[in-house]
Amino acid sequence: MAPSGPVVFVVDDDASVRKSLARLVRTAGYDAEAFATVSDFLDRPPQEGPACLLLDVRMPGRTGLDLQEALRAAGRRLSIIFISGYGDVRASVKAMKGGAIDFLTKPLDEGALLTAIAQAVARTLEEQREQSRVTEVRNCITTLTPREAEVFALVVTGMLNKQIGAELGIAEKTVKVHRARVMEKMRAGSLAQLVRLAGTGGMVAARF
Amino acid sequence: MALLALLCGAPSSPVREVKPGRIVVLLYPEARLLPEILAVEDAIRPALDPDGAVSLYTEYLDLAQATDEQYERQVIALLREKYASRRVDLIMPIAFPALGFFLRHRAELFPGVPAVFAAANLDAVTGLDLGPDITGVRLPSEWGATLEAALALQPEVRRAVVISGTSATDQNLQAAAAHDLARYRGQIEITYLTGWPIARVLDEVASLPKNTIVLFVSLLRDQGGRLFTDPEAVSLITRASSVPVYGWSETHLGHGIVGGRLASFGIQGTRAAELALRVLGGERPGALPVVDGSGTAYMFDERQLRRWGLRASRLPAGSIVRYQDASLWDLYGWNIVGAGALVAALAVLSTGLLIERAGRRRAELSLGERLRFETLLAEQAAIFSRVSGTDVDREIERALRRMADFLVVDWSTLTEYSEDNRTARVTHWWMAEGMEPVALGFEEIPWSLAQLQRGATVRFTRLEELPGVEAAVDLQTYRRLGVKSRVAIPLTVEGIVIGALAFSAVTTERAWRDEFVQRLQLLGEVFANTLSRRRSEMEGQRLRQDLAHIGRVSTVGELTASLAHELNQPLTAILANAQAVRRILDADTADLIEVRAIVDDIVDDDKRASEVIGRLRGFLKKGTLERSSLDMSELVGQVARLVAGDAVLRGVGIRLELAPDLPPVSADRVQVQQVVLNLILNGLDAMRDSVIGSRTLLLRTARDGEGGVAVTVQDSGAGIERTELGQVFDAFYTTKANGLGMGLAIVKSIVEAHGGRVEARNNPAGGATFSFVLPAGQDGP
Repeated sequence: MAPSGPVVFVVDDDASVRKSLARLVRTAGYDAEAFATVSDFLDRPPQEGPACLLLDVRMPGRTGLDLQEALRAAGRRLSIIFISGYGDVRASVKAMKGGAIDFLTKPLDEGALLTAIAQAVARTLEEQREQSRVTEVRNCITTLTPREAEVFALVVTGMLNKQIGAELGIAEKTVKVHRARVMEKMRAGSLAQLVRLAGTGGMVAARF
Repeated sequence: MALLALLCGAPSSPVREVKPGRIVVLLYPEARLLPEILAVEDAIRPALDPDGAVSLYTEYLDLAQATDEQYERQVIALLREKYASRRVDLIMPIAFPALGFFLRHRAELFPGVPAVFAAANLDAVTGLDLGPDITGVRLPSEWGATLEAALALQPEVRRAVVISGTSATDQNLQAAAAHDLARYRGQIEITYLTGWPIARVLDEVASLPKNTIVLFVSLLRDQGGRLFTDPEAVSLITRASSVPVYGWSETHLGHGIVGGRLASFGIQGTRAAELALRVLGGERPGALPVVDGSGTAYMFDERQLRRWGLRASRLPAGSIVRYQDASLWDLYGWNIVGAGALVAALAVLSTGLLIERAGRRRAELSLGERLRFETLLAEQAAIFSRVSGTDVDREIERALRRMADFLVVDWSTLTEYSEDNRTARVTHWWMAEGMEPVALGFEEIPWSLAQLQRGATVRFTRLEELPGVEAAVDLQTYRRLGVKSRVAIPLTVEGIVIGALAFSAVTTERAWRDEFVQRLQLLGEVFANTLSRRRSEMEGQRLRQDLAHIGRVSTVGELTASLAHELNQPLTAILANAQAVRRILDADTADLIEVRAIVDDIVDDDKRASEVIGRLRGFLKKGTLERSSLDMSELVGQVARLVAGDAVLRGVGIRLELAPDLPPVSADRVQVQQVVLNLILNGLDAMRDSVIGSRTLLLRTARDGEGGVAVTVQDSGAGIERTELGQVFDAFYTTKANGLGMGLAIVKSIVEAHGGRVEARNNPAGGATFSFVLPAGQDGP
């Protein structure tokens, strides 16, 4: 898929706000898409690549906080900048706890807005990369045979081949063979890298 | 000192006067109002305390089967606490477990206080030292006499099965029975079913061989911890039993036992009350011998004799045979029976006559019903005292069903009246099968409803008892519904009738005796309290909703917030557009068409912002007022109620001094409510930092010197800085961290739009007073 420039999604029920914000964001060099409701936004297929969400807190129907919750529940990585008509302490706490990049009050300060957007886009990108790394490691893990998976789980705890052999009731030599295959299948160049991969894939936590 | 002198030096004259203010404590072993306990208390209470001069306290000790040290310590601690500041004059332990408890802890709990016990079976109690200053009435075991009577009726009997439970009382009575029966050991085989689960007991008695009888001792609690009253347990057992069952208390009779030599708890209570009066009158208990062997009689149930084919001719001389009149049974059901026996025992034993007199029977029945009824009521009161909001409906329906069962009626309904008393709604009902609940409102039974709303009970056994002319509509309705007899009790809360509890008989005519109706009124009170509790919960909810509604529409915070929001949107758009234009113009190649479009948008948004401000002005403008004639005292009272909950939460006491008969004010109700609400909220906020307990808000309405109506709101907060007194009504003036400074500004705008004036000043004693005056006047602009 061809990577496009960063997209800023604007979700606000007020038409002029929506239009003007999209306009401002475009003049700053981003692509912008505007939506009047949370549902309209959710109907759009998820964006791959850098993006962020400029989200009004209070809207008729589903609110910005509802959308934040829906995205989290769906496992979608998209950083959010909340915008609100007035300083709603409770909503802002909730939004920030939910991982929002910022909570800005209208009318929006141009500098603060563009800084937040830059941060949000970067964070989204970072999270998406992290996500794909995890997916990749998990995919590798699925290629392991059950025995290899056992050996993998023990290797990353720092056990020696001999100890692993005793633990699994197999010869040290066999452990060595399995270990080499694990390194190969996990595309790990070193033990340290393998341990990191195990952490990324949730392997250690899953086993012990 | 005077009391002490009286106690020591009182003459032992036969006519004893009990000084008022005496405290008598009744100790009961169980935790429940058992029929036996009721019978004792029914006898003691009126005798000791005919005019309310003596304070009778009752303690339900709930003693476990064995002496539980820890539990007893807790009870003792509780009793010590409770009676620490009270000078107790007499202790009355009822039944042996309570007596035992008292004796064990007397020195610690009630040292030197005389005691009179009742209904204590001491037959199997060994090593008992009653000690000084105590006398009482022993409950005799008459199992020997009962067994002999049973053997006379059933000469073939070779075995007796004795049933008892696990409570302290059960065990005491069981031991007494064993003691009594020991001497028949050679004659018949005796098996004790002691402390079995009820299911096993019922299984066992269901398959007893013919030459066996069952002796029921006491089963207040079974092995599994299930609680019963003796009449309940007797009913279960006699229904299951394959052989005749004999008992020992008149409370068992009528529930399926054949009979026996039965004891009367009423007489136990009467005798104990006599002793108690003498002790309270100054006699030393030690000088009064313990009364023994009082109040038992041979009593039998005619229906049971027939059921088992036993011949009345073999009954002991002087036996009382009850339930010979089947029609009474059919009419009133089994409820009447236990107590019928009690009264018969009282009547017979106290007069020495063995002949029943017709005149007595009426009283017997009523007392019998009463006993049973009171147990039922006590249970209901207990249930409703602890029922949670969600269970109220279910419990009320269950209670209605039980009451209908008891009263042998076809419907029981609980009706709630609307606040204007115009409509009635059946909220709970029980109906015999195939009947539909009918709401009887003002249309259907105007006369009855008028009676009820005056607080009067409506009862009739026959329709002819209703006044034919006044109640013509009611009669028509009752005929249409087939109602023959009916009793309806008004449910009143603080003098206001909120509904009615009604029982209607369709199949047969039903008489309603006074004492019955009185007790139904008690039940009505229980229901009324429950319903009003719930109503106030709902009322609170409704008020909160009202407040929230007013809040949405017009409270200051929300109003300004929504205005701020509405203004903010165009301002946001204008700013973002302007910033976009600047960026475009900064770029090398400016797209002027785009710039023009953006500037057009800015103009539109600016217009939109102006409109918002215009609407705010319009809201407060004179021309939009919807005037009506207002009673300011009523209005202030209403708003005060709205914020009552809020005030409680903030620890503020609201005091109302509302003048009656104020001239009406012509004003916009919602806006004036808003003014009062803002001033109250302002006052509450002002006291946020005041010491709790000193937070008082005084709302006063009065005639103004110039013919208007003045409303003042006086708080006990910090007051207003002298330099700021002139500004408090200005817009955006605020002393609150998160205030918008619009509340008092809106007050001023509204009041002035109505041609009135506002004022703020500090009170000499601290705090501030805000007031406004509205000119008096009738409707119209």
